[in-house]
Amino acid sequence: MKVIYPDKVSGVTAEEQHANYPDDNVLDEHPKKVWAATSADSGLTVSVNGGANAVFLAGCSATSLTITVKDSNVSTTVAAVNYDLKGIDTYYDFFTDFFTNYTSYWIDYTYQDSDHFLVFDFLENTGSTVQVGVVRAGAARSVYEPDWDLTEGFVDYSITRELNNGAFYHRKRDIVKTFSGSVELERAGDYHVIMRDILQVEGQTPLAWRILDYDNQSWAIYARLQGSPVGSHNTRDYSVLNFDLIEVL
Amino acid sequence: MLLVELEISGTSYYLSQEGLALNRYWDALVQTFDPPQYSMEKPYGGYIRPSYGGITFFHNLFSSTTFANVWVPPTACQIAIHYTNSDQDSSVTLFTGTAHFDGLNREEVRYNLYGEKVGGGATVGKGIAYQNISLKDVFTSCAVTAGLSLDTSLAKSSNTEVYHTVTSDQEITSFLSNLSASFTHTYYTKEGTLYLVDMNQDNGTTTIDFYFYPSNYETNAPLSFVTSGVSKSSSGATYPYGTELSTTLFVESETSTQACLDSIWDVYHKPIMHLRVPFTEPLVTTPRTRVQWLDTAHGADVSAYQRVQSLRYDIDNEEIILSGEGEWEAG
Repeated sequence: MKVIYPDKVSGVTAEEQHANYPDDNVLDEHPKKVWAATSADSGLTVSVNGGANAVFLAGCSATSLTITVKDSNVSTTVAAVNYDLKGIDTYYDFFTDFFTNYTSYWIDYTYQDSDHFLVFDFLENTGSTVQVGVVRAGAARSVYEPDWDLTEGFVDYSITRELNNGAFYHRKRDIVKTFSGSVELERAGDYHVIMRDILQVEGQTPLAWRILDYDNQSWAIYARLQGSPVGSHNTRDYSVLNFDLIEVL
Repeated sequence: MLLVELEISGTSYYLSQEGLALNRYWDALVQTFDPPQYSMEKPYGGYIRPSYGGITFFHNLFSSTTFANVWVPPTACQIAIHYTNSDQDSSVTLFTGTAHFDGLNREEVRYNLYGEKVGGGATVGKGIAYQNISLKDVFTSCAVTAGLSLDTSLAKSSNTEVYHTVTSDQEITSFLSNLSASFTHTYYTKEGTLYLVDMNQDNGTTTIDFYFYPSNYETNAPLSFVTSGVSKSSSGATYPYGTELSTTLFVESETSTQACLDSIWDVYHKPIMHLRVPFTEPLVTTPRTRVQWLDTAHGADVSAYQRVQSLRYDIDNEEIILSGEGEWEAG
């Protein structure tokens, strides 16, 4: 399981932007508050401080894109690749959760210890304009995969009330994903890194997660903790951390 | 979906209780919103007076550099509140006016809402005499004083002669409220126009099919008589166990007095319906609309209608409460 922390994105510049949905919207904590281009084929350049090897996009409408890592001069290409949902490149590993029309991307790339740029070119789109909700980039903090008790569910924020005749009034609102599970971590290592350096600092601030299970199924999710995580120090060197994540829109 | 436009230090902020991506993004910085409501002042007529509570915001709206970055919150802001069930262009305006700072605690910043003062504080002065002038003509004169247009298309055209000398300065909306109620009329204001409506007239009609929540029906406490001075109502049944309702009339002859008292008696004793409906389009926003429906949830079906005298927009509970007097029968 991985989490991008801390976020190293220092700025973004879009090729084009809707007047009411500017590119800076990808820097906030609300994926529904998108950057929207004015066409179905557009690009976004993300400035990243040194010390990063993963980038995450939440609420992305593109189904095919290229990503190019450029050094701080913006002229030198470190590496570039085109890919879509059907391929996994050996240089870039990417993991998506595209079982809705709201797609999250997690893309690993070679560690860059200097300031650099990630240049996205969105090639194919599910709508008439390209949209991206949130961008995060930084060091991917990696721990073991969750145990076999990983669960996935939904929280439905819709409003439902019974009408006079027994039927129902229903106003559909957002439905978000939840993931719960546990990971067994070395107490003197990953356990306290996660608990003290990340979760205790950030609390319920949403972060970019990649959840990977033992079957190599993976999910990229922008989520916050539900409640506080709890760990059990039930072996001499290892502790079991129980986590409960809920998607943030 | 609640849409709030708030102007802070010359900049407009677009807010809601939930993040909404419409023509623009409405940030989820509204915590609570007290239901605006419109209530008729007397059970037989008078001014349908708007009342507004308050609205609370998250601190971020004022303290964060992402938003207004004005701390402490300002004393007053211009505000417009709309509602839509679908898209931004279809929104209905519920309120425009001023939000005045009420207070803050560690959870919220609270503002109270103040609408435009109808009539601008105008008064009807002591000594003004109305002698054999129709209700419509009195309203025409007062509408000019209040700076409002006037619509009397649903008001009575006869038997409303006013005989009255004003004995003390009165705020204009209160004077017109008492006057219109005495003739079983009501009035409301909307977008700069004053509408005078006979309590027995329909201000448009709408039928609601099954799309309403469990609702309730009641009656006012019975009266023995409606009185004005020594005159008593004489129509309909008398409920000797009821109380007397004393009212002020603006007529001269005993015939006119009796007609007013009997009319008040009739309207007062009509059943009152409280119909709860979801926020679905089109919203009922016009007082005295005749709303009719068939209620199949009781021991036997009830066919009912009301003329709306009170509207309450409870956005937090996703319902509008339409209250009014009307008629009911087996469905």
